[in-house]
Amino acid sequence: MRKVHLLIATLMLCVLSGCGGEPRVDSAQIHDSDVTSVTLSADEISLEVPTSKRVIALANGAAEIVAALGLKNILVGRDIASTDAQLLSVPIVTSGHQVIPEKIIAAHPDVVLIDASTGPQSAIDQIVASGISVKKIPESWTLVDISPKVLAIGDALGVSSGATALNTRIQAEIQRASVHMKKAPRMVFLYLRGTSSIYLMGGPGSGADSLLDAIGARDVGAEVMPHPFNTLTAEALAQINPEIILVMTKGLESVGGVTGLVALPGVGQTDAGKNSRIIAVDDSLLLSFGPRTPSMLALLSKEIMKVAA
Amino acid sequence: MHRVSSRRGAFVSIAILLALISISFTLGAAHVDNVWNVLLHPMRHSDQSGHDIIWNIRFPRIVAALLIGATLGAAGVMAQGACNNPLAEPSILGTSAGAATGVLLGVLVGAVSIGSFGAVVCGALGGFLATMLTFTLASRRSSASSMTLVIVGIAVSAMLAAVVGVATSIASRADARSLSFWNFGSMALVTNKDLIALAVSVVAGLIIAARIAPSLDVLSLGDDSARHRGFDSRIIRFVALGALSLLVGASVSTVGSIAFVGLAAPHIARFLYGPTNRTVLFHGALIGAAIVLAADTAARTVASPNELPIGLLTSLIGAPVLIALVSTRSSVWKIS
Repeated sequence: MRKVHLLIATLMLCVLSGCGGEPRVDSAQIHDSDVTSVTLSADEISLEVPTSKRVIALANGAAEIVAALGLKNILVGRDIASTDAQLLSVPIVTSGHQVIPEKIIAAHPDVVLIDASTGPQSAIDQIVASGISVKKIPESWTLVDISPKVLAIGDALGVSSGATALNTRIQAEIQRASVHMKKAPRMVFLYLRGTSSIYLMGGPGSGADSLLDAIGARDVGAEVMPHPFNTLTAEALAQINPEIILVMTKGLESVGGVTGLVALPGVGQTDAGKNSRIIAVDDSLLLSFGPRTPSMLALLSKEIMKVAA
Repeated sequence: MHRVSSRRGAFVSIAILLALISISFTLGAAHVDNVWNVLLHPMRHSDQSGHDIIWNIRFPRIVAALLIGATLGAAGVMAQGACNNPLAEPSILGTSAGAATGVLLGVLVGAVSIGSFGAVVCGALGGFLATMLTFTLASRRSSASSMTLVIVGIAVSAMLAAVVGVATSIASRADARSLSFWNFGSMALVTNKDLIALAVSVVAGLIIAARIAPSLDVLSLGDDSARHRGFDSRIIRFVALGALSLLVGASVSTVGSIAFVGLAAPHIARFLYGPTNRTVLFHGALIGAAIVLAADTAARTVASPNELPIGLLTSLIGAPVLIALVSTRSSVWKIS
């Protein structure tokens, strides 16, 4: 009788624990410091003289493009999302993503580059009212958005030829990074902020879908989800059953690292969760869609192939 | 006033619960073939994905919803009975906010993790201290009315909710959960692992509640009447608030604060079955379980694949039932 009880207890524990064997751990991280930026050579940038002497780049990732155009010397302020190492000496003039007008006006810029996400509007109005030229450039949410963004920044600074040259270089590097894999791994992109109860799954237009597509991986979240970002539900994720999960570094930290992520309902039931196949890319790098994207793509495809092997 | 027979009501409630459990296992963001086959053969993994969804995702949520609902219904009976106040409920007396503060502090100092027995103990202690604080502050004035208790309780809740808000903002740690978790509750993070501590604590809390419930009938006649009948109202109240704290501690430490069920379930039971506390406790627990399970099933299926906050659904489901009963029946608060 005791043996029967023991067997029942063991079976119950087995059901409750999911009855899994020893998982394989295959997580990887790609940091800002691991990538390099596509930058114009001295020959390419000497052809044009920029129309501005002091530039503040508030548009997401714009400072990286200005620096890639060889114009880091005219940057007097940047946004928090431009985290390229060569920009560390350029002061950040925002609080988080909030523009601080006093800091910007005090830097005496000729031109301030903004995009649709730059705000608050009252701060932009104050900058315009002080006589500073504010130029709006398009945002980049996919690989194809990089080119118009670079050209718009080139036009705003009077270096259109340099922008065209930079675009050519970036596109060539992206082509080089686009190594199509034999068997496209099934991946999902999760946007996580565990400390704020934000758990989202990337869908069509999240940005990650264009990156994964370029390197021959399948964004299965984008195949079934209706919106660019969708509430992550345990069942939907378990049914999609990705082999690899792509996250941002701080997002991964916010749920307690790889251990915390695979403990989330739904994640632990996927092949990715069972084998801890998680790839984390630094937050400001993954969806930067700028001159660092080709290098990040090359590293990402290398890590995917390593993890999927 | 026509009352429903308790036994017949119990059969109806259990039938409703079984129907809800069946629906809840069948519905979800993902489609699972042969749900009943997977349920009846937990060890057979012919459909691994379906097995995972049913046993590792839907099963813990359904069990947790039943336990949490029963807990909140019973906690409401304890709160209302101990305070002899129909407006008392865990989130008004400060018990829920106190439990959240207790668990959060326990997690932040590294003593406990959410879903453990330690977290339940921290939640129960925090809930008990907060409830006693409300009681002590409200009874400092000799002319203290029922309304004084409610106002003081709301103030204590607000103060402790602010402490939780500040602590989660400063700490910003994954294991400390989010402010919305503590304020509005969420069943989305429940796993099988969390069920053991929850189930044991809930059963213990319900046993204590069932033992003390008859004494609360005496308390409903007033402290003086209770004393004349040989009862010590302070001991009855202490035990009832202890049961309340244990139940709320178990609930809040697992899924955060889900409001309204603790108020609605006992009143619905009282309207249907009369004021006897043991009957109200039994039916309040069943009604609470039905409300939370129905709410959680709706929360994860109505806007699928997105998920709605469960607190919205508990109000949407419980409030119309309560309003309908209030407008068609007269309530009996005290035992005659």
